[in-house]
Amino acid sequence: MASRPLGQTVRHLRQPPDIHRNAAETPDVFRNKKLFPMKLIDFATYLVAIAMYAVVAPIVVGSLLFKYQPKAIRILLAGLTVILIVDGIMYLSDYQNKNTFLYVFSVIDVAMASAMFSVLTNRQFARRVIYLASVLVIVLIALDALYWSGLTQNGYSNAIGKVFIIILCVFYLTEFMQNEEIPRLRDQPILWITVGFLTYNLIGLFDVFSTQIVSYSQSLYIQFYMFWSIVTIFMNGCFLFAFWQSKNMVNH
Amino acid sequence: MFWIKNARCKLLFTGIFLFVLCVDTKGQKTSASAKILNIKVLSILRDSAFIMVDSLSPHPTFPYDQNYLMFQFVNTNDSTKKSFSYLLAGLDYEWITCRSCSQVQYAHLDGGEYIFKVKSLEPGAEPAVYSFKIAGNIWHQWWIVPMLMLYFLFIIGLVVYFFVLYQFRQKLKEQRLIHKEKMNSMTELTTGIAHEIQNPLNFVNNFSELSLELAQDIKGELDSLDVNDKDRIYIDDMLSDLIQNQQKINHHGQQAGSIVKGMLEHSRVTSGERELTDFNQLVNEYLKRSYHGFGTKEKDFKVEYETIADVNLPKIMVSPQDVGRVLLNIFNNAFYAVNEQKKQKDASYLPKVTVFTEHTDKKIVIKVRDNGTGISPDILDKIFQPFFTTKPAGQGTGLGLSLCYDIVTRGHSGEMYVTSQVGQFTEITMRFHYG
Repeated sequence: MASRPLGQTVRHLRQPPDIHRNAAETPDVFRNKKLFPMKLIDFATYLVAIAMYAVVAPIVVGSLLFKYQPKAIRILLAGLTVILIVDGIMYLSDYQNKNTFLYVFSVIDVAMASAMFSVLTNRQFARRVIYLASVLVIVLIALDALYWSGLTQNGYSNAIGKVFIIILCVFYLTEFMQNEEIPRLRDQPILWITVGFLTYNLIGLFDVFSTQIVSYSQSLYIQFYMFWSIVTIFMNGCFLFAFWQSKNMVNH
Repeated sequence: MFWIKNARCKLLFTGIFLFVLCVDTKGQKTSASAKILNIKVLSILRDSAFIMVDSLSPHPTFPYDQNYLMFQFVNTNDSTKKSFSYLLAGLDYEWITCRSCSQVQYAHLDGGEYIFKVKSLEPGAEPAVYSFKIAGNIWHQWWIVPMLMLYFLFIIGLVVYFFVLYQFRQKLKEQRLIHKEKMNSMTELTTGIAHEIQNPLNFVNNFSELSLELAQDIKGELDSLDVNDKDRIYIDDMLSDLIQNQQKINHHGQQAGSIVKGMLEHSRVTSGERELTDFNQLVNEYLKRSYHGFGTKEKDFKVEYETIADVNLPKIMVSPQDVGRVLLNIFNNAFYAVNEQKKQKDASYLPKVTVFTEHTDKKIVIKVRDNGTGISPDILDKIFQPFFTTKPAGQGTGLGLSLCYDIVTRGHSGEMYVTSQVGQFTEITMRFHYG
């Protein structure tokens, strides 16, 4: 999930399929500045670029403060790093169909969130359920990618992965907020990580409608991804703050 | 060059221009005054070449994303005349007349059935007709609005849920803080009063002891005095009463002294020598001691007790005497509660006391749970207050738990909570931080 600035968002906006970026490709009607000044897409492109590279900031801060971090936060750091590497490979290879990578990112997201939240919970039963459910979701994503939706489509299993992560976040955040030992919630890195995950995946759920949106309205589509870029930046900001606060973490 | 039907279409048209599909409709309605030459369909999705489709295909259905249609037409009687009336049934309500046109465009048509009609302006002219269908996109699906509403409700629900949870937490924190402050002030008051009482009480005790000794001495010397028998008996009786009174004063003075001593213990909760302590060992030791101690006082005392211990519990720096005292007190209370419950219940009741030790990040948690009488919710927040007791008069001073609370919270910077349900269970939780 953390990857979306370099993953899912890029899938849509690094090479937006229906948006003519080059003047040579642009139909005459779009060259008319009065009719279509092209400002929205330019702004969206910059915003997506910022969202893409925003993930670097938490990774750098997390690496610098590595020695202070408990296991759960190190899992997040490792997950973000893997995502950055996969993104880098995708960028360098200039892989055309970003949907294939979307499945990879979904698997990384689910695995990362499951590992992190199972470390955070003290309940043995909950831990087992999380492990089991995460395996099921990953198998589901694999089947969806290979057999049902296909590698070139944005399958519904990606949305199921997001729902799974939302459930984990809600479960943990409930447990976290009921913990009376935590003196100041806002000082706890895990709160910000969970808020980041939750916000991102809640907004990201809307991706199930994205194919229809792009067919319906290009400008609406761009606006949605601009909003998503802002959410991605917010999420990375949460991670950055969480890494910065990692010394204060109270586990329970 | 061509028309765009309405302002909304014009706006969308500026952003979408990708592919052109052409339908040859030659031959349609030859008797009509006008002939539809071409129908061009613009797709908003694919970038494709101009496609010819079978013009005779009756009633074609275009996908929802191919909803930009341009109709080109000609007057069959005189191709130079360019005055027409046209109507798109399904969109237009009335015929539209144009004086110099040969084509018309409809952009962004919604899903549905349409019939395009065009005729020349000559009187009695028959219109050329072309019917088609635009397939509805996802927005026309019945489930899309409920789905979107559900989605937004889900988000709003989560926000409300966490807001309520946060408010609840804040309220609880506030209550805990008030309780802590209350306990601190009560402890200060208790120790203050104890200090004030201790000095006069010492005088009472000391002088009562002295008076007792003096009275006993006088009684011993009575035989050597030169008094008649009647007076001797009278004085002897008086001295006996005096001795008895002094003994009572001394006895109750000592009792008051022990209460004051207990009160003063609150001010000395941090005085114990600290050393690395194994909590599992400490729990087992005091649990057995409490059980056997209770067993000697109560006949037919039989309670199942067990310890569910975290074997990886680290040793931490505490005062083992003070913590042991806390444990002993809590175990005694637990055994007392299950014993009382046993008296009220039938033979099927199995009294049980369970002690859990847990180790989480930088703290040790000890939970003592009994299935005894439980504590009523209205007195639950009072049980750590000094002099508060539920035991019958003479069986408890009400200082035990308050002292435990002070030892844990003030003496070891820990936490102590109680949860209970009347007739079901009581669970006392202690948390000791380290590191």
